[in-house]
Amino acid sequence: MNRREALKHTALMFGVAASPATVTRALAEMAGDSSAPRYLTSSQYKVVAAMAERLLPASDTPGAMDAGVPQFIDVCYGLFTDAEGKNNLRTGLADLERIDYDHLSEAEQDDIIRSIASDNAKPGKSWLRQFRALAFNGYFTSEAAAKSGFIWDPVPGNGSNQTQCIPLAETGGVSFYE
Amino acid sequence: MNVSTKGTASHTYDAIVVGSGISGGWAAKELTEKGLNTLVLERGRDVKHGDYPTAMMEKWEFPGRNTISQESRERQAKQSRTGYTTREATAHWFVDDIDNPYSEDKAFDWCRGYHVGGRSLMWGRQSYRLGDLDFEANAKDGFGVDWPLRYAEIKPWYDHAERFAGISGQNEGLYQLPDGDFLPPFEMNCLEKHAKQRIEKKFGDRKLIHARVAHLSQAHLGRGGCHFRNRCSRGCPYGAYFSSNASTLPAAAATGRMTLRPFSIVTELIYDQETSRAKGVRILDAETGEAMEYYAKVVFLCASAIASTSILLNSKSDRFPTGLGNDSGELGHNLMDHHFKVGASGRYDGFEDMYYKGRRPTSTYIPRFRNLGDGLSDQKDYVRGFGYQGGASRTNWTRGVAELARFGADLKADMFAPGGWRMGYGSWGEHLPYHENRMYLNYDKTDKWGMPTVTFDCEFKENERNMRKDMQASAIEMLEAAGLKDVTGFDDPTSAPGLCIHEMGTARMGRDPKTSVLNGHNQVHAVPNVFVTDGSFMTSSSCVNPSLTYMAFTARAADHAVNELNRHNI
Repeated sequence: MNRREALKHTALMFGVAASPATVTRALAEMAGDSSAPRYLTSSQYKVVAAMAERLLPASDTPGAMDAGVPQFIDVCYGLFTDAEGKNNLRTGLADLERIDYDHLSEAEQDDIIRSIASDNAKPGKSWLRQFRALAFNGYFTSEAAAKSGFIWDPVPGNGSNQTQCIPLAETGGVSFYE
Repeated sequence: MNVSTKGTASHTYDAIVVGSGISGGWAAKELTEKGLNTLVLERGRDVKHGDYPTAMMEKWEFPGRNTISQESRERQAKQSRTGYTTREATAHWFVDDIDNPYSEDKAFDWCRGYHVGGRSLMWGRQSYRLGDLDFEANAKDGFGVDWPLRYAEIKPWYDHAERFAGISGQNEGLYQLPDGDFLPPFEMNCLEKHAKQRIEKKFGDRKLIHARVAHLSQAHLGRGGCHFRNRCSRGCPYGAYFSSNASTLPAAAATGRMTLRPFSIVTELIYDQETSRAKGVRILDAETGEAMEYYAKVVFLCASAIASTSILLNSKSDRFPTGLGNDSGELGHNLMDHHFKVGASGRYDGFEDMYYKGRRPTSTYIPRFRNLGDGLSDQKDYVRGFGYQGGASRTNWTRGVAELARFGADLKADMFAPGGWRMGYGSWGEHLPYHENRMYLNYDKTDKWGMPTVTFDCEFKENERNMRKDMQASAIEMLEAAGLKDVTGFDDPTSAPGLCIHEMGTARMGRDPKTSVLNGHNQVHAVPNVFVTDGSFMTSSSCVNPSLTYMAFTARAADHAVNELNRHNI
């Protein structure tokens, strides 16, 4: 599947229900009201969505919002993060909520990210690292990423044993991980 | 205790096998194929081959994208210590630590699953033979007691185990790592092939070889070949790696002579003073709580080193006041694991235009090259040795997380492309048998069945610590010889015994009943119709992964049991 076809596939994916039950359920959640987080406050959630989209914007592949990254971060925060991690995430988000990050222009939002990245005050950097880890994980393990930028090949097959040292050009790209 | 003995005849079999993991599955297969009506008792739930709920799930179908939930961290706090076992895709294969507690005089990670198939579903699948370097080690350097047999006696049983299990690999003609009967190996990638050449050229005494693994590189005995999904520990619908569920238990069932009883917690062996034999076992039904007895001419304990030893320790009688077969006082002692979490990794500049397809479930291996008894490889600071597992791959999107100043569409596109090559090796080292390293039963702290719990008192010592320095330094020098850049070593000195999930030695074999629990055929010295064929029999740990050795010794013990039954010796 080339990237253009993959993208078409992704676009269809959000409108069509002809997929296994689990996927349908996951998609229903992803396609649900994105302003209704389950664990973050709606103010935190808006900042999360805005920053995730600036880190991983829609281009010839889907962006963070299309890939369900805010929903993932919400669930990850609620069910997969310990008390210290939650506290760190909330603290950093609070700074961004105070400046209405999600209402800034894209250029201003990008400037904020750059300033946190270059700020030698450690808390900001470690917060950004935590947030990027969440956003990247949410994005690059999503169905949208699997079926657009990666080669989604759930069952590569036994013939793969003859293809462990071949030109990159023959592989078509990076296999979606696990 | 109110024990039900109703229907004695219907509770009587030729053989009882306790446990259904690697060893129990093999015992069931061999005993039933040799004509014995066999009852297999498993303390956990049933799992039929194919009954693997997460096997076909995509990563995005796990709410945390296959990470460890807070709930798992709380309920499976000890099982989570590996950092990988309790991820969403495999958490259901590991016990709940709150319902299944144990205690630690010293830190010990006891990671296990209570279900049909046991850890044969989640094991690492690396499969190597022990050789005479291992079988002679205790006698030569004086740690532990001598193994009661040598390689020539177990070799045919390794052949037998490999032929059925399906081990992929390649013969190398190495004394320290005996050859076997292998399916074709899994191919190395470009950097691994390159490193093999460079390392073998620079170090004449070292080999970088295909890992020997219980993954089918091609279809084998009705099981499918590997489909390169690399989702193995979830359970393989193709049966493409060896598990009891896909391999031995179906073979046992096909004889029509196996009765498999899940939810059966064996609490003790029943010892008959008059015949000096075990009559059978007592169990608790894990669903009803009912206590019951089952009888047989021969009993195979295959419940895992710690569980089988616990059953023996809890089987007290006038003849055996400290546990069945414990005349030597060694039961529960000489506990071993392997020590690991030490090695090195580095970056490789080159092969940018080369790659691989699919997700290979294996990697490469560097066999032991120290203390080979050749006078050339002897080390001053430690005895025994270590091997390496690892290999090369291209980095993925995770490389972008720490590049804090990079973001946007270009970064995203870059993360969809393969990153540079990296190569790394972790080392697995031998853990000596120390008498004082032990597990014992704690009758003051009982579980929900009223059964005593296990306490561990085990540690790594000077020999292991000294070995680790070499394990790291040798990894660094080999990777540098292979042309890797920015090679950095690692060593986690806090890694406790158990984490390797290779518990062994607590009912060791030996030549002398005064210093060992089992004889050379895995029989309890003083109760010869009780065989123990899981990790507890190991007289030394070697440095290789042990499961293949459990398979071979179990098959050999089953053969011996049937011969002895036919001769009316047991």
